Amino acid sequence: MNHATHGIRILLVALVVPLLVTLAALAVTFSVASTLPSSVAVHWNAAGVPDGFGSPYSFPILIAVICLPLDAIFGSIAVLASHRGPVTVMTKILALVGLFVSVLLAVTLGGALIREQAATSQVHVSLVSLPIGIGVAAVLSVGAWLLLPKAVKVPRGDGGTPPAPVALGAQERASWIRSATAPAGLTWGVVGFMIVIAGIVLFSVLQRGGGTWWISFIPVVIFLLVLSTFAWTIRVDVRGVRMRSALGVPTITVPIATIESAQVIEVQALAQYGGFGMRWGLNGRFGVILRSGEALEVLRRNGRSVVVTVDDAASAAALINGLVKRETAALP
Amino acid sequence: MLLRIDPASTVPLFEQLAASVRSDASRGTLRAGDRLPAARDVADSLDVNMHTVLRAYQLLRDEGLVDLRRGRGAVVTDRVGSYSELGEAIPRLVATARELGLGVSTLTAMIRQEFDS
Repeated sequence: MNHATHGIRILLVALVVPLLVTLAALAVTFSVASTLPSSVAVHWNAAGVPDGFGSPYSFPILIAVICLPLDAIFGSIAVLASHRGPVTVMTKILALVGLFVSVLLAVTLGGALIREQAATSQVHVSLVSLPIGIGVAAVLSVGAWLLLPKAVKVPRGDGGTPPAPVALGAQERASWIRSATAPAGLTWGVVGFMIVIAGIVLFSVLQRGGGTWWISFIPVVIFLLVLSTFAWTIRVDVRGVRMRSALGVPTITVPIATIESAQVIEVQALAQYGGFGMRWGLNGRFGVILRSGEALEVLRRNGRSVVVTVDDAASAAALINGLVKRETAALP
Repeated sequence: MLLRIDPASTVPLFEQLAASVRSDASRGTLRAGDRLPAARDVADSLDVNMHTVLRAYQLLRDEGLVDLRRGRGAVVTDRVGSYSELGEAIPRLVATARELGLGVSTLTAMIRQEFDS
């Protein structure tokens, strides 16, 4: 199995098949909807009893609105990630999001609509297809997982270069401070997305009378919180490593006594962390991931590690190693 | 940016801080337009008075290595390029002196002579 077939398999599983499933579901639900009365059950409560009624066309609309962007976004991220780095568990999970959701909605909503058509003697039927939808989506996802290339393991500390510790005098004080910010394109992308979402919310609220216009601020607040994790100040000193986001919250601190060593690694943001911002990576890594490339990895004594993508990571790692060395030398 | 100070040294703390920034500039890790860390952050991190840090930044401004602007902090100027040239020249100078078996006092004497001429 060479790399070329890897790319094709990921493209098929992550992008082509989910989009085909979505299009098929759209075709079926649309044609079924055209045969139904203008009001059918569209919402079910937790007990599976319908409590909302509406146009049957809301089924294909819901499928289109949820599945098309989801398939496109997660599929593209998975394909991009596999092009730029090794296929990891993270890439495979990203590749399966579109498939799982598309199959789930196709079976659940399509099934509900077809039952609706079959049961025209009754007015409305309950949603029994949800467990079937979850089951089918899960089985297909497991199958697709096996079809995808085997994931490459990236163990903690792998491929890193630990720089020689900075030689520190007993009384000497040292500090390394540097800001780490996401590329402008990423930041503006998020800002643009925020404006679009807030606009949609505001528009739909105004259509219903506009009494609750203020809820369009909710996406703005959420996105501002996300943006505050796109600019950090990283500080290394005798107390340890402190990573402070633009708003001051969150701030991540790693005390020097909990650090084993530090090193410089190369990070693949998508393949290893599935995106940008504060991220849990694979194999016990937590990271502030703002771009791919050079990063500082702080290996903790508890077997976990903290990663941050920052320039001149070698100086930071050398200072951490120097501080750890002085600290352990001072211990009895 | 790596800042190092030794309170036991006879060199004033602000001079040591400025020397640290200069050393980063000559190593090429600082680029024109980079912002030096906020004085308050540095003071907190190194447990020194904020005025000591500001004095170091003022010294570097007088040298022309940084611009001090209200609200923008200390921003590295274009002159940083010449500092990294100096940073490349010094190891060569020292290596040549070692080859010739000249000590640090002889080399500094030669440099001083060049300065005075």
